[in-house]
Amino acid sequence: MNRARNLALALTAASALVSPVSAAEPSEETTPAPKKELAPQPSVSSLELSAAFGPTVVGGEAANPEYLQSFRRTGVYGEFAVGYRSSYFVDPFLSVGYATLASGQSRIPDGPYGSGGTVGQHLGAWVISPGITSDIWRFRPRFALGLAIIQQSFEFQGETHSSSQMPLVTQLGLGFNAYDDDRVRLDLEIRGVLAGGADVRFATFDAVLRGDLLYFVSR
Amino acid sequence: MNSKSFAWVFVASLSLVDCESAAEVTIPAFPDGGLVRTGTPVARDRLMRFEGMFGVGNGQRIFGETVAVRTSPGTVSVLTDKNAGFAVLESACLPDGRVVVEGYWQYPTRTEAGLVRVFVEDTALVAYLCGTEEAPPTLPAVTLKGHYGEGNEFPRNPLDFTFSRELKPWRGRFFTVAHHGACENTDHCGTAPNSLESIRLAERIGSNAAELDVRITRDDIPVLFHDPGLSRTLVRGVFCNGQLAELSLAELTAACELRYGELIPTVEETLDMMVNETEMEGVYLDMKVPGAVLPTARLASRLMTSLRERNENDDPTDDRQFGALIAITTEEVLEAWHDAKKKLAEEGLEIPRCLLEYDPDLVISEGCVAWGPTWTAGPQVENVKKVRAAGAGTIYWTINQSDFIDAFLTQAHPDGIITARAALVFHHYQTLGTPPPIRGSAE
Repeated sequence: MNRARNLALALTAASALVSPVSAAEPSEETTPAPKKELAPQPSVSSLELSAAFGPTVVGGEAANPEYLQSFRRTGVYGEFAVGYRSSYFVDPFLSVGYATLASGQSRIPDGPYGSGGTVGQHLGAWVISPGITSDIWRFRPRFALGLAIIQQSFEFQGETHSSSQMPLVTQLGLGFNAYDDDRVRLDLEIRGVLAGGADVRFATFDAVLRGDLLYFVSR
Repeated sequence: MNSKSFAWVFVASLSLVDCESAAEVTIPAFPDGGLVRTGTPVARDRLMRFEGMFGVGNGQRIFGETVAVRTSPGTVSVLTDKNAGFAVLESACLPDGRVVVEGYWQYPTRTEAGLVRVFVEDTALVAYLCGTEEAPPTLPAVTLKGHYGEGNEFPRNPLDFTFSRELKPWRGRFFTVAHHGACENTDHCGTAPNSLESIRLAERIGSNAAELDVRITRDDIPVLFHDPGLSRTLVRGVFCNGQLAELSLAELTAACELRYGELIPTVEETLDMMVNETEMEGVYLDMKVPGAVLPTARLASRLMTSLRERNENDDPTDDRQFGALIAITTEEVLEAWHDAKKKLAEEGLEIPRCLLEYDPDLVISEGCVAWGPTWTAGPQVENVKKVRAAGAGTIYWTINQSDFIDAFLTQAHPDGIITARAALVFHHYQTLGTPPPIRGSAE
């Protein structure tokens, strides 16, 4: 794939720089030429930036269905990440994303808070995850373990209030490489995100645009 | 499978592991509603005839050798020491001249449960239970005969209970205190801790008081909840996240439900329900945060005043004995209690009764009516005697194991035990316990 192409290009360039063997004149001697030692194979890595965007669907149910008037469990997810495309088995990355997960309205009865009314509810999540990915043919599995900031906000009787919590978050995804240029790649990826401590879990289906910012060549 | 693929499968599998197992709750019920639907419920005062210690003939495999039977509104409770099991039964007078007593049995910590259907067939007893006449002097003792089942199968295994003796005095004397309701979060009772439903069930499985955890919402309304955080082990709801203290009661009401779909109750509605819908005799309000003390003390004070007015009026039929204790658990809560007493005095309200958990001398100096030591410090018999001499009682928290229940009952003769195994504590009190002195007596 692309990495192999990069490797070949780099190998050619490196060979040109390190082994400036000029076109040798044919030898008149009949004895066989001594065996040439192969130059060590250089490895190529890159610093990769990526951006993902796509719809989400959140798992779980809104509480107290007898009060629930509306509930939307779909939203959008956007993410930026920086990764190191190593020449070894896995590529580490760090991603930061935000998802608008759910919204709803509940109509609560009169209570100690005064007269009843409609409570607007919104849920969102920041996801900050270090993780690893790897290229396996055109597939790209992803695993990440990090922190989420689960944010919820409420509107009731003209007042808005929000709160948040920070549970651990696990991401598991599988991407398919749909386009691969020298420096730019486009994946389609399905991903599950689980913030167990907050009982928040959602799935996203993203388009992921990746591009190499820097190359590192080493022997 | 190569090592690269294997590594990914391993990582993927790890991420799917969930350490919390889902609660399996199966409360058996007669599919047609049972025979009680075809009869007339036995009146509350007649239900008292069922109370006593009973020997078990057939059915010892499930119920052990003896059971304690006590009653509450609409319920006959059979309490065993076998796996802390209980049976929650209803009774009705049938058109064919029998009284049926039926419902379900369950072991709270296990998944075993089943149906029970027994009958009273003695004609004199049936006539008393279903009539309005005074009890004749020669009324025979209750014998219950019928069947039990396992799971949802129809009851076909023979079962009989034979009355052996009266219960030791327990109403107003010994408190089987339900630990934040009927059962622990990991049990299979089908109700969530600190819910109204759990408190109702607690009475039906042997408690006559409840220990409940009090926290405060952002708008200063005391509610029942154990943890500071709205964790998935206690609550459900996509919008129910973060700390309880960060949400107002309106937000909690809209966003959160307890494990089995119950609402998070306020202390006010809890007290109202306990006084008006149960025969429970008290509540131990465990102040989890200092901020909960003043608003909870106000509610307890108003309840105390209204009950006194109710008990002092000319109508003895509405009398109700019920105590709401503010449980002081830490030095910070004690400071909040001092501030609350001053505030209540300024507002012209009565000072409610208190229970102090950690220091028996402070119980006496603070004028609290009870000491609530942890069982892990042992029975502390001398301290129990000291607070009793000062007119206060002792209620241990939280004892669930049979051996420890026996040791504390026989060594310290406490006034109560907080437990999630109410059937066990009630049964063991009835078999091994000594009734504590009547409060206010010189005994």
